[in-house]
Amino acid sequence: MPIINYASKEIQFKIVYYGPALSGKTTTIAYIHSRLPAAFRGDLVSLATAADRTLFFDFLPVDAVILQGFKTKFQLYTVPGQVVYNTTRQLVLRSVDGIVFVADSHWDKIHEDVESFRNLEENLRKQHLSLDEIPYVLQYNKRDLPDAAPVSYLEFLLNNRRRRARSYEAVATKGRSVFAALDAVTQSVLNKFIQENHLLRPAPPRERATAGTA
Amino acid sequence: MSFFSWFRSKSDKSEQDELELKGSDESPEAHGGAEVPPFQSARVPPPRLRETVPGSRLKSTSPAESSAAPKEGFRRPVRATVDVPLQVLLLQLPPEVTKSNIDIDPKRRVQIPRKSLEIDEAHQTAKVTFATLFGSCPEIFSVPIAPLDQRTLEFNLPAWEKSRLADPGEQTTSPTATAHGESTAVTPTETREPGTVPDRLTPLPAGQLVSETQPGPGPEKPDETTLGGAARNGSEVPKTVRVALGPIIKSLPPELQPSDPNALANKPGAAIELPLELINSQLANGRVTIPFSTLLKSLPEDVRSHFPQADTAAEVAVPVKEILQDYPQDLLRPRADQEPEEVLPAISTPFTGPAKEDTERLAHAPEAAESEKVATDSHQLELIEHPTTPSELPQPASQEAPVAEEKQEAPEKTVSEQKLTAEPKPAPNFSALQSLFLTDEALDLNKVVQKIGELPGINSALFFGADGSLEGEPEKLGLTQSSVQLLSSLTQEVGQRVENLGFGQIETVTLGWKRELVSVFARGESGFVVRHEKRPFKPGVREKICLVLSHICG
Ligand SMILES: Nc1nc2c(ncn2[C@@H]2O[C@H](COP(=O)(O)OP(=O)(O)O)[C@@H](O)[C@H]2O)c(=O)[nH]1
Repeated sequence: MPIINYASKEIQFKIVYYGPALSGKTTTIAYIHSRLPAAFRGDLVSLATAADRTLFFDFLPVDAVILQGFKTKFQLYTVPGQVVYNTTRQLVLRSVDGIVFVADSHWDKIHEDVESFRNLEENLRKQHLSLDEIPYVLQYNKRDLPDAAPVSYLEFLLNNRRRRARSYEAVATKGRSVFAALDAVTQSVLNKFIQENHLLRPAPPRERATAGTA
Repeated sequence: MSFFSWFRSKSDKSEQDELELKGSDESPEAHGGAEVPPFQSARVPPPRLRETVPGSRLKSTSPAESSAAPKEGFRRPVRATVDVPLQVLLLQLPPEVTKSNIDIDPKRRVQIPRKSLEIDEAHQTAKVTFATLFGSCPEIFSVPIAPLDQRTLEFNLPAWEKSRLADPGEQTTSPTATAHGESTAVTPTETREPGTVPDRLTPLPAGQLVSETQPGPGPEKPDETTLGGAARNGSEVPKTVRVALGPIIKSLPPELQPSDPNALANKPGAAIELPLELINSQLANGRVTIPFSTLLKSLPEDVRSHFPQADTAAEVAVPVKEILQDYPQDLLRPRADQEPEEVLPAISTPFTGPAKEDTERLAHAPEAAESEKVATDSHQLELIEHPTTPSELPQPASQEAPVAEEKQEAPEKTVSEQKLTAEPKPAPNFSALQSLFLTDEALDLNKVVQKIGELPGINSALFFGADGSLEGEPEKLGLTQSSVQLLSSLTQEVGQRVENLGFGQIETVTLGWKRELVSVFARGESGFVVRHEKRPFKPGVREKICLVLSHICG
């Protein structure tokens, strides 16, 4: 559920980058952070807990999508590296609005991808949420690795829910498809919010969204 | 007879391989656009039947359907499909082909193309072939059904169909007998050539494969269509999968290694056959293991004798990569009930622009163009790019001026100037390290060393250059310039020797003292020396130092 601030007339959406350790979540977020105009983004903050860290930043763009007079603001979150406590992952999923699941394409990591995806489903279930209602996309990362599993197999493993999810072949170190995945999940998040609240759609985009081609 | 003459030759593998390796020719654009589901064009043609859940009306897809609106003065055209509740079909399906314990939405309906049905108006029943049904709901079958399977299933028409038949306004055509091989697709684009296999693996819920591939309970004769027995979509499906022995041996733990692993592993054509049923259920986990005893059993006697006979209960990994080389792709078929990606109205988000910029930027990089797209059905092997070091840091587009542009804008230089500017290595771009250290502060080498010294668990750090220069506080580490040099050459020496052993390049050498550790991260003759707590590095710290080093050393 997004946080609505009536005083500042802002709606804040939370997008979480989830996936196995070292799949490229931090690299992805760091890339996004580095590309966004410094004036409109907050610092990339690393919150240390007992053993784990949470990484996040805010983004309130100047050309924010306006919904019913409210500016839309985004918070991007991840839990980087090896996570000691599952609670850290559960916490980061609190009030999540959209998820980018970052899978590691390396053959040796695909089992971890599957486990992490199941862990995501399980952690959402604990919060009475499900991927049936939370918009999510799959970012098949590290496609540059020579020992990357075929996308078709990753699809078989991870894109097997009743409703297909959008999936992107990405190389976070180069920024490939990083924004495309974020754009896609953001569109779904906004559309869901508009639908659920029976809002009027924002003015049609001047330029067609390029999700899927980036 | 040669040592490995028992290994079956695998000449008819090419078709599978071709499917496995075939990349998609489609341009990224073909997949993109918020309004076009990225997979649409590359998607396996939808099954011939469609399923509906009451309340979620499908859009009409066939010309027959779209023209189905009654017009005054005209007879209502017949609907192209007949909706049948799945439960009705399940009741009639013989147990020997029906999967047990199916968890199916009882409200689900199957839309069967009318011309695939043999309708008996007098008795208000209809017949459909198993093959047609299998095309849409493979998950209800315990065994695969070949397209030419002659068996039919008879069922009572649902009430709404009966009333439709009775309705004089409904223009009912004479029942069409299902001709085998005749298209039963709702639209021409939905037809699938018999014998073709999906061009991508499509998910099945975990565990589904195994139950589907196990023979039905107690049929008196083995069903020809059971996995391994026979035909599915007209092609032979083997019972076993052939896996190269070399990669299995490589992944065995030392205690289970054969006496001469290299000789066995490198023997051309050395492979084992594993029963599919052992593998199917595990493929959905991304990892396949078998008991060591099974591995031993699948080896011929003379090869088996090279392996230790101890711990036969141990589970050993069979690399999935190797399994998929020979795995019948046909078995990893689309799940029939999967709905395509949601098509949503496009909203321009603050990320749409950067996404577009990235596409354009990366489209200029020749090797990038191919894989810069939504994941498609294409197989990775054709999409392999030149490996990049994991250390590459993301570069904002603005920092990546095209080479041609740089050349144009650079002022003319004299030969000596060019020489001067060409020789020294370009100074590292420290601003790219800002996001790594989560700071907006301007960085230089000194600050980077300081930041490394402040990483969790690190007590102090210094950088040593190839020219012997030091950055940081060697005294804090209790080191002098010569001791740093010694550490550097020691690391290089260790690195060299370890590499010669075939273990690959090492990143770090750690020396331990009673209370603390000193680790050297070297790249060529430069690197970092860090003093840290006598514990493993905190998560991400080692990776971060490696990243910084590779960035600085290029
Ligand atoms: N080759 C390659 N390496 C990557 C890619 N994305 C991330 N990495 C590397 O993978 C490692 C772990 O990445 P990180 O973002 O810290 O993973 P996290 O634990 O998911 O946050 C780092 O060394 C990254 O440089 C990629 O697309 N390709």
